[in-house]
Amino acid sequence: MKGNEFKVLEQLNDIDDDLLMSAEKTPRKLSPAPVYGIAAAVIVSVIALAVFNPFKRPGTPADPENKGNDPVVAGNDVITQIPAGEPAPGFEFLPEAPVEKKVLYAAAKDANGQNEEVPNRGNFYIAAPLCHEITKEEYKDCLFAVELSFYHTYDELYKELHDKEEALYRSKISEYDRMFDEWQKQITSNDPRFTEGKSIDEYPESVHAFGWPEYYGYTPEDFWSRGSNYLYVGLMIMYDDFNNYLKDKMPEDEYNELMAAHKEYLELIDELDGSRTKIRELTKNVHTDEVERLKALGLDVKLEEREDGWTSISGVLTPEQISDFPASSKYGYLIIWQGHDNAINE
Amino acid sequence: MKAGKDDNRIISLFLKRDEDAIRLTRELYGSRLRSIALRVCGDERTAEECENDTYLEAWNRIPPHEPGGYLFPFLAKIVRAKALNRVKQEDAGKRRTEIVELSDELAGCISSKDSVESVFEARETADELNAFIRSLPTQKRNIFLRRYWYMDSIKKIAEDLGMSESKVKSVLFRLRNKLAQRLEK
Repeated sequence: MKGNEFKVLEQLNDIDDDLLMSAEKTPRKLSPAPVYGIAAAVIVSVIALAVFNPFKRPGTPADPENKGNDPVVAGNDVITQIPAGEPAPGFEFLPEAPVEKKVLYAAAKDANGQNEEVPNRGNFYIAAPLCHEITKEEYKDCLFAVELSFYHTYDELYKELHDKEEALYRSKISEYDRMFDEWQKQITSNDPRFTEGKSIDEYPESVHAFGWPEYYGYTPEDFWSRGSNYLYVGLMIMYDDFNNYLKDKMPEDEYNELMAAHKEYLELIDELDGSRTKIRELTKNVHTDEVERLKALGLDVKLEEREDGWTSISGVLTPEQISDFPASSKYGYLIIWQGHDNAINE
Repeated sequence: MKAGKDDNRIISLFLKRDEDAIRLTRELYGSRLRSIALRVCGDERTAEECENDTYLEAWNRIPPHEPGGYLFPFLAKIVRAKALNRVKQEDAGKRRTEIVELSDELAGCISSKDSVESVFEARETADELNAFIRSLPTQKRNIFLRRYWYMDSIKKIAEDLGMSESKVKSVLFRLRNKLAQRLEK
């Protein structure tokens, strides 16, 4: 790190703006329930906005190759209209919409602002600009292009996995961690770089939290020579050595049991923080059922599915359908106005 | 939506080269920007200088740049970069140990080589970082950003989120490992 100590922190400067804004507004002392709700909502919203954002899709009005009609700015704030009777380019569902009505889009990608509250089950919120515009007399016969964000879709599953993770940590993994600490101490006890009697907490956090290689008696060169320039691989090599230590120290059946628990624990963490396979499948099922239910009620909605399996719901709705949205008692909803790249903010 | 409308107003003033833009920016965001700089450099006077430099840079960059509705992140990135630069210019011995430690924590995850290739790698890394952060549950995402972008202390994050310090450390430890694993792929 010498000579370019801050490169890694500088690289973080390219984080997306909306992420920074949401982190800066971190609420104080949330109880677990809203945390699950917010996590669910934000992820669904982010996926919906990131994946189904018309700016990023080929064939949208933003695409120079697109030959569709340019939108017409209506009003003096955030409205864009697609001319009546002509499908809006870039949206597969639009040709299915009633052709005699105009479809309205938000003019800016941030027109929906930030929703600070989580709707309870059975409730829905309408994003502020949309909520304002649907009340206007001149738009009463128009359709609004919307996306639906869902809340509370997987609260129970998330809590179940989280509780399982906590229980496994208490019953097995805490012991694994304790033995890991014991092994660390053995490695470092004869190392003059570490003052005798000094608590691990007295070292910089980078030492005791990340596992800086020197602390474990390794040098970066040990890791480089074993196949990678990344310290993570070094960390894995270190864990391999620790597992061999465990194997020698414990009866075979206990060792196997502990390792199986550790493997299960890592899989749980991965499900919660990374792959989210079960959560993704559950979300897709919820969206599929909701599309069927809303269609049966006469709403023009469509399931949008991306390659990695995450889904969202988009549609074109009348002002009445939005203001009287038939929310299911199982979920909370946020109705977001779809943005349009060629619109003008005044 | 208030901030959004204020942002649009301020940006239009910048575009018109109206100096009221700076006055309004200071009124709306001054304390938050100074706070970011202060967390990086740890010195009130330097933080204030970084804040003022940020207004000047915003003045020079708008136009042609138009930050849209995201004026605060645009300014925050400038002030953070300026504060980091100020810390870098200081003698190594005087540098804030917290910042060095933060950088060390991430060193195993993110390559920091200086090379032609790394310019391209840096862009890819930024994309990967964004994707990684977006994939996180809200609370973990906020912990990660509060620690490594806003450079809040473990204690402050723990207090704000109602968690123990050890829990915050544990979450950060796991997140760093996951990030390293992701970047290794």
